[in-house]
Amino acid sequence: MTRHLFMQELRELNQNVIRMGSLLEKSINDVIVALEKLDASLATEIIKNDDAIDDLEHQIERECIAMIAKQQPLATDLRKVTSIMKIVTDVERIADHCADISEYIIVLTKQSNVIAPKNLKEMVNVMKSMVIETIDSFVEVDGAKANQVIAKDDIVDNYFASISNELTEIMQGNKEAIPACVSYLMIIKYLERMADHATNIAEWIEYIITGTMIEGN
Amino acid sequence: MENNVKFQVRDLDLYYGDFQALKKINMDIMKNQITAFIGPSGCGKSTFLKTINRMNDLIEGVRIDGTIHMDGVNIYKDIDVINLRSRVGMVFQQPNPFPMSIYDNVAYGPRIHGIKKKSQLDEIVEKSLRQAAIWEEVKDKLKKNAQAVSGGQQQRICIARTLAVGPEVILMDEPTSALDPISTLKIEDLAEELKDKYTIIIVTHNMQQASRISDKTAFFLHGEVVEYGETSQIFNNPKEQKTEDYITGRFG
Amino acid sequence: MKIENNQSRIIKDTIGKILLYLASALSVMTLVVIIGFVFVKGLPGINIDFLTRQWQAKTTFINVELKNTEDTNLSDSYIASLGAHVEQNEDGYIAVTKLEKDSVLKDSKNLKGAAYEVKVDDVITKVLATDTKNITLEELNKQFNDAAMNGETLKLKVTRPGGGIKPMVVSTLYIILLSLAIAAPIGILSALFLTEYAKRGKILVVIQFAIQMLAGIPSIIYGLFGMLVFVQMLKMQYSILAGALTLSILLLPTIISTTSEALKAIPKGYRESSLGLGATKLQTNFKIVLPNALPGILVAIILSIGRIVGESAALIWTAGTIAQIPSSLTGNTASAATLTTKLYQLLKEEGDVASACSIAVVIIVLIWVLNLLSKWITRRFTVKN
Repeated sequence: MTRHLFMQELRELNQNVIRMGSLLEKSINDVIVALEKLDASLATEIIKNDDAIDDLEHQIERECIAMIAKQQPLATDLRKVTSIMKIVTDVERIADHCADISEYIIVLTKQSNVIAPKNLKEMVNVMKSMVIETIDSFVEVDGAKANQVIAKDDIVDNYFASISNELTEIMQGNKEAIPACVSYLMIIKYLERMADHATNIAEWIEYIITGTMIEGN
Repeated sequence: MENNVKFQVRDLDLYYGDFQALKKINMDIMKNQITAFIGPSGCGKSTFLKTINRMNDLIEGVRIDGTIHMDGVNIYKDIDVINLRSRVGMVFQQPNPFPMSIYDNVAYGPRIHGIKKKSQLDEIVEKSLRQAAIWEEVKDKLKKNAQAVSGGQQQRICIARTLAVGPEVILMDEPTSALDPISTLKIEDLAEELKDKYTIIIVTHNMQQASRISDKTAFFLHGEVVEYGETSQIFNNPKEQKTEDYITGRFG
Repeated sequence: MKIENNQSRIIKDTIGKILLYLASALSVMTLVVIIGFVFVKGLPGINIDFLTRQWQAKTTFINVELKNTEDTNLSDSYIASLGAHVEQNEDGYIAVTKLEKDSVLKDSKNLKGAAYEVKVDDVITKVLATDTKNITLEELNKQFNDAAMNGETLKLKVTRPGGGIKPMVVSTLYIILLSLAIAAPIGILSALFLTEYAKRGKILVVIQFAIQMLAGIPSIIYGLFGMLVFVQMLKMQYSILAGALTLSILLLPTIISTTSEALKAIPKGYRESSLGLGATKLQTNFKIVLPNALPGILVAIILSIGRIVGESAALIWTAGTIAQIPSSLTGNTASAATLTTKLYQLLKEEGDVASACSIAVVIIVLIWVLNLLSKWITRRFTVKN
């Protein structure tokens, strides 16, 4: 086996992506708890933790650029390095949305007439499973798992449609509830975006493994 | 589509004595494209290149089975080797201009094929040097010894020398491996320009070079073609594990 | 690291150095002594006459039709009826010192009626039956004028002085040209065949071995062969052709191996490029391979010339030792000594060390010039411009 240095660098790159994934997993878990309990202090902590993920993203991007410049990766290596550059952007976006949601959680703690939508918890759980499966499929280089994630995107989209209908109905019946409902509306929009990003990541993982790019989104 | 095939290689075997250097090569090489041959040293890519203009005929103890057709004509049966080599030119690894003037180097080919008129030779020399993108650099020193210019210029003079015979195909055997990066890029640009008029086949050890300039790439290993396909496919997503291992450097 | 036995190592080193100096001093001294001896003995004998005169004095009887002139006075030792300036040489005979353009001596005929041109430095030893020794110029002038007035033809005995090496120089030149004319094309073409065409295998190995063997055979054996085959069997007699043929055989191994080396040194790429451009093998060999091997071939030829100039053993029994300018290729008028065979003969048969040394000086200078030439060619062509 040749190219020991390059292989070492690739392994480190992989480790960093996985580290970023686990940071993201923790943020999502925290968001779920904070959302359920409307815990302002946990939400504040999530916002603070976002910086760590941002830093890791920049670090990984720099590593990828350096590897392209120094090692001129080809074939699987090329797909891996370029895909990771795309993947970390999506991971960072998901983490951003965790922070965004946390800000609305803080808003919600200050609002009255807060009624959580019925299916919100289910939607969050589906989104969470998507992110976790994405991370797993990356770690295990498992194309089947990545495909599962892509399939689940529709479920989240459906939840978004039904919950936004539910919120509309609440707002039509109770004007007092409008500010809280708007916050929830924003939150589910972010949840839907997070699922989209997870789908993107899954597609890049699919590209790493098979070399084929999935068209459309 | 069939009309765009320049060379049709079928079940080609080549032996050096008892050693089989090429095994059942089957390949269609396209007109006006750059086809790159890659593979580790001793894989047979240069040997295969040399079967295309029958340079292997010069080596003792070489036996060839199978066929190569150029435009439908069997080059080992139905065409005279002198005629073949004037139609299929070759550029070698080491820039090797003859120790004579730049002009005489380029005029060498036309002269041996019987062109004697000065005006005609002048015209061919200028045209060939222009095509090889070296005219501007050497037009004032055509009488100078061709070995007195830089390696990159020498290689372009060699290309001009090959073009002067009026070939249809140019075989390049690692043409830039002895050159500096800038000269290398100049030769690559030149190859890109020339492919409109010529069919180019290039053997290279430089994977980036193959991926930069070629339309099709063939990966050779132990005398066999492991994979042959579109260059972008070979370098992004090779089908064969051996190809993958070779181009990602996880080889041997 | 601890350095041991430093003292003894330094002593060994010094002794080694002294031995090396001694050996080289001895060899240089030997060379200097030999060259010095040859030059000291030989240089005084070298002058224009030595280089331009015939080796043997040659005596001819000629008939001269004298010119009847008004100018009968002997002025400034000019004999008008002869159209020649004369003087008495140290032996008391009459030597021609200057010839006028229309001198009758230039149109004289020998006894067989063939033209014989008298030249400056020729000596008139007899007029009719009279010996010219110690005759005065006035007497001579009078005799000629009288004869001229009577319209007589006078018979003169003319001796052309010898003591020069001109015949050997010319013979050497002839033999060089002849030998090379035979050996160079054959040798070069053989080398071309052996390096470019012959299939690698046992036969080639045998041929190359044979060539190496031939190069090592002493030249006297070639001489023996030449004498038996060319001189006797082919009835060429001692002649420059027999000598040149013998030398050609002797030179072939050198020319073949030197040329082969030159051919092998030509980059394979030149041949491949030429063939790749559609040239035939013959075109490639004559337009690319041979021209590029030219410096090597020239060096082979110069080495051969040196060999010819220095060769004696192979020539004595094939070209003979007669000091004459050969007038044909075979037969008895073709026998000719080169400088070296003459040198050998002078020492062996005449014991004339002084003349031998003078010839030796000429040979040494010649060889030296040839060496310089070959070095110059090598340098001129191997340095890339």
